[in-house]
Amino acid sequence: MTTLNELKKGSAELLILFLVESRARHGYEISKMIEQRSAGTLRFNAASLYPLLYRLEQRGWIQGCWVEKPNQRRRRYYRVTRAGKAVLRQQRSTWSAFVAAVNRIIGPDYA
Amino acid sequence: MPDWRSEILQHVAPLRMDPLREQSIVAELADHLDQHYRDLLAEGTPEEIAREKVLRGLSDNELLRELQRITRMDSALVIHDRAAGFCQGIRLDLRYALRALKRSRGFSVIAIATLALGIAANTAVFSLVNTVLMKPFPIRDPHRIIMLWDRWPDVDRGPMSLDDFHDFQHQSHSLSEMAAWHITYYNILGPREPDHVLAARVSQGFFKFFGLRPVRGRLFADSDHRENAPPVALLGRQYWSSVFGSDPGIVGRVISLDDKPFTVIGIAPAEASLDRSPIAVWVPLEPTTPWKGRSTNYLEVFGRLAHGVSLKEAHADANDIARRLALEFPAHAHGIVVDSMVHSMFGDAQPTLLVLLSAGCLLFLVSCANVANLVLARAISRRREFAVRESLGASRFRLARQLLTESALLAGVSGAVGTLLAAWVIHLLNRAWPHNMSRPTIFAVDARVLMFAIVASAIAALFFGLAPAFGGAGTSLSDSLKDGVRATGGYGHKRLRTVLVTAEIAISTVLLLSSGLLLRSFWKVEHTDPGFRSDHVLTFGLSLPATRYPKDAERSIFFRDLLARLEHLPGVISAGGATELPMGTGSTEGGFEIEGRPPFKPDESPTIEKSVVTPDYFRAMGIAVLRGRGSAAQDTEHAPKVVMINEELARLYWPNQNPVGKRIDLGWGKEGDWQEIVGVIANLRYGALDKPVVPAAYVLSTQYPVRGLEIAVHSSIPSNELVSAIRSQVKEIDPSLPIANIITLRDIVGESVSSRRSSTALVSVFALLTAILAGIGLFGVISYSVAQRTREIGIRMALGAALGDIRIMVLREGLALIAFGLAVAAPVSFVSARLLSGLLFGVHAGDAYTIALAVSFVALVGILACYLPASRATRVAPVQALRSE
Repeated sequence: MTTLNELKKGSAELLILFLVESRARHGYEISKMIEQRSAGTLRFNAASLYPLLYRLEQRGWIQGCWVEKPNQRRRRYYRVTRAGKAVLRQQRSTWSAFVAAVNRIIGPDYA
Repeated sequence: MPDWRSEILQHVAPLRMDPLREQSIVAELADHLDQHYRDLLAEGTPEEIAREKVLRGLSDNELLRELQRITRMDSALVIHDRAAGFCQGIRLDLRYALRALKRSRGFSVIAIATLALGIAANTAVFSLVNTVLMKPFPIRDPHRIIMLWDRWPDVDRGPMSLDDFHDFQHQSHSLSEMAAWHITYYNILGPREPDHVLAARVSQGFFKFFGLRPVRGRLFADSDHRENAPPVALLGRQYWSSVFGSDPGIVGRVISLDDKPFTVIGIAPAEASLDRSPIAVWVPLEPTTPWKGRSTNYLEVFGRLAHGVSLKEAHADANDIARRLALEFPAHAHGIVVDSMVHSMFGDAQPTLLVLLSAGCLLFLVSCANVANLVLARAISRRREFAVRESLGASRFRLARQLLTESALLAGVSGAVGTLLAAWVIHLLNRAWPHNMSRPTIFAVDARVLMFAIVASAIAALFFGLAPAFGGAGTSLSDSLKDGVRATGGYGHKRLRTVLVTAEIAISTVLLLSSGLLLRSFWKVEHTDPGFRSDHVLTFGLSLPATRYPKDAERSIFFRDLLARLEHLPGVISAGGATELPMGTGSTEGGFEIEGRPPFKPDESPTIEKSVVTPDYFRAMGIAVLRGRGSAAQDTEHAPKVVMINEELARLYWPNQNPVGKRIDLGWGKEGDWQEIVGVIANLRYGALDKPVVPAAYVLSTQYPVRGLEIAVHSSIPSNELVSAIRSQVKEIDPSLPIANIITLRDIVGESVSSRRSSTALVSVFALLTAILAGIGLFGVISYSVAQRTREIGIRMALGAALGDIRIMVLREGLALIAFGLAVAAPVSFVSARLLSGLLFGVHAGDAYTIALAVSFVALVGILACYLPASRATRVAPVQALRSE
């Protein structure tokens, strides 16, 4: 579990940046998507998700904005900034390279 | 539903974040927990368990740690602004600003009115500059076009001869193409009465040179300029629509110009008239011109600078050509002057426009200063509001942004109102501005003018939006809160307001002085003796076509008959004619010789005005004969030739002598055909009332028959009642002879100063408005100061100060400001008066009378503005004053 937490921490920024790249999403939506797409392996509760969001926002990688839609309460939506996109590109390729490298070492072909 | 907010607050409260930031985080987390809770319930989780699960998500102490880090690292404001700023902030600010402005309606209305006035004045004047200087000609690349003039010893800018034009065309390297025209008049037989119209003979490729296309039909082709080409003409657009009702069938028809048939091949665009009144008829210069060779100079010549060539280089090139021509044709040697077309045509208007623009800008500045003053006063009374907001967590930056939003809103509304006002002023200007003097200038609000208005509004917004920020620095929050409802302004504000009012007083003094000088000049111009009678004189022009009046005798008989008929009309006192009327369109200038004096050297040859007049001309025009006589019955064709000269000519060449009996030669007859001076007449203003008197000589039409005359009819009845009678008299003698320009002499004189009248009126209105605004500004500052000193005044009165003492104390403060403003104005006025000197007439820039008047006016407005608050101060009841804090 500890290993997973470490990995989760290491990849959290990448996950959030990726999810808000295509369109603006609110915090709960982000946490839900991470949970669903990872089939429950990765989970972020409010206490860990929001500080992450605020930190990314503080770095200028994402931007939050209160939006009021009809028949819905006011929600804060996050979208990736230009700087965030660049970071996302870079982190993505680093991550792929990392995963590929790990796989090459421990992957089934070499087992 | 559980109360998520209070749960979350328990976690974040210890962080003591910025309240707005905290509110935002709490709301966001509560929303998250709420959604989570609902999802759990929907999955069938019992309420209590769902609540526990949701709260567990919050219990991670990472939240606190991370938030703490964020709060520490960055002021919460930056995040807040970055997050909410762009979406919500501006909208909220605007909404708040709107509410704030609505709340103080009086302030808003006064501020908007003041600022709109300034923006309107500035925008209206800018539209003049824009129309006249910045886009003067709707033609191809006007700023690359230059004009070339012959320079003779006595003529700075003379027209060019046809051969010279051709030589320049062939030899110039610096000009890519050239064009020339000659403005003339034609008698035209149209569908209506015979008409005498403005016409232009244009060189080959003239329209192409200016990048113009025909409205209908075609323009001149190169073949139309050949020697034996069939005669063709174009009609001007305006003439086509006013006389021919825009009938497209006119193209292809034959019209009669000076009794010769011309086929109309098309309609020329209005832009082709350049700076002239609309030209009615266009014909090819060659072959219609009667003057070939080098001996007659009559062409206005245009050139287009070749790519990469400067005006200076073009000038050098033209000088080279002129030098070569001078060697080849020494009898026609002359210099050359090159100038940009825009400057040649509008250079005269530049000083006036510059003065107007400066006046507009100054009025704008004063209106900004006044609004800044209002905003400052308001900021002081809002100090408590801001202090409360600051204590609730709003930063100074946030408050400054709020203030700026308010001023931007104010400036935006003022800009819109001001632009509308400007459009209305421009509408008025279009009616008042002198049109017939040059081309019909239509002032309009276009994109550039709108841009100007927007920039002006933005500058205004910055100007007074930031004023409170500058003045407000250095006062502490707690001071403001302690001070109570009527917080004091602080030293910074007071000083800033004083500076603003001083500047206003100074500016209004400068403007009043300028307008005073212009008004005095205008008064002087209006009261200048033109040397002739302008009331009850009707004038018109007649030109006899050579085809029907080939002989001198026939023309003399025509004019003699006509003048005799006119003098017999009821109400007519006398009638006479001259080749040129004063302040009219034409003028004949030239040299002369004096008998017994060696001929003038070419470079000192004097230029005088020459006119041919009928015997009764001086009588009809009320021109005084000062010495000798006017015309007499014995001055017939075969009698010795006589001439009358004006005082100026007599003064220049026969100072302290009687010139009567001396003989001169105007060069109009055979050589050695001297004319004896028989009389000296009063000086006439030829160009305009504000132009200097020039030397002039007059010979008689009985001795020098002419083709055309400007007729002046002096009557005892109103001139306009004569028009139809005059028309029928001319018709009876020659039914196909057109009458040109029936206009009263008063109108001609008025027209010669109409541009001066319009600009003087504008500057005066601006000056008056500025003075009033400065007065209001002063009133505001002194009133405020009195309100602040209520307690002090109360104590003074309680201690027995007399009412007069209090009043003087208040007045003294105002007077000090006025004196300071006047002191600042003195050096500025010195500079402005020098700038103005070119527009002054008969008034010295340092005219003591005008200075005294302007200064007293400022002082009067200032004292009035101070008197009201001063007398209010004396009505303060001591007890109430002491209780007022």
